[in-house]
Amino acid sequence: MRHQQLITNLAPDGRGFALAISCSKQLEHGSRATLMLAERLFRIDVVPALDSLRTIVRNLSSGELELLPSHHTVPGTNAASGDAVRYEPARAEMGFRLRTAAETIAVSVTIGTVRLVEHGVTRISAQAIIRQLGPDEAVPAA
Amino acid sequence: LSSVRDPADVVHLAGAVEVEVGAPERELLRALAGRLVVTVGIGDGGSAYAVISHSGAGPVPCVSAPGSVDPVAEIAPEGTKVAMTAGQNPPVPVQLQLGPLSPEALGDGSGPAVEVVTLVLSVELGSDGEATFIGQSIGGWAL
Repeated sequence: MRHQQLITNLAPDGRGFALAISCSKQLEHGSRATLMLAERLFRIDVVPALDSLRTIVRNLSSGELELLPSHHTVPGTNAASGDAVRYEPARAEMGFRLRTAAETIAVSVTIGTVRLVEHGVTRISAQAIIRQLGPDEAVPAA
Repeated sequence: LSSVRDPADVVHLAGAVEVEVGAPERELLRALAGRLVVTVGIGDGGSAYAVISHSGAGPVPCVSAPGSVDPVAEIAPEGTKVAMTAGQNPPVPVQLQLGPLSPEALGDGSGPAVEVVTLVLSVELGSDGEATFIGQSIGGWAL
């Protein structure tokens, strides 16, 4: 399956680069695929199951990967409208940072899923906000 | 949405509706506390489409990926029509990324800014003239 994603540069906030990545994949349960790729930074693979979604963060940078506790991730909720309940929509959040002596890359990812049972696949869509911070700069609370 | 304390906090909204050929458009998604609306329809020729509109003062930039017939470069407040492909199994969704958005882009600027909104929309044609649209919106005020 060809990997496709959308990338937009955001206002750099005066500290460094910032960008957003959006992507969507439809996967059979148990299969593993790359959901998101930030070149030279990280790759996120996903494995959907009937009752869960496994995510794997691959560090492609020279920095140290640090997964952030849940209070650093985006607050908010998940909702369904119309007939969407039958597709069992769900949401997950993850946050991590890549740290070197010179910089910190802060990443916040929102993942939304819907199950297309008749096709035997789960649609996994995601949006990531990636910001370059100074080396000792605190990751802004979401 | 009755269990949501504040609709503006919704960071993943999923919607699904069925539309018959030639029937009036139906609302698929109402995101960002109603400031971003997606309606869908099927033309008389069987072509599926979505119309994305917002409450901002001017067009917002947008990028798109396969699932739409044509690239989408911006979304107008009054609505931009996005032609969608159908007939594939499973349906191939159109991916849209709206942004970067200024605080004024999708409203009056009074609330915290939304930087980017991701829309994923698909359509599946049924055998008896109806089409099922499924949509996801990712991104909320809390970014």
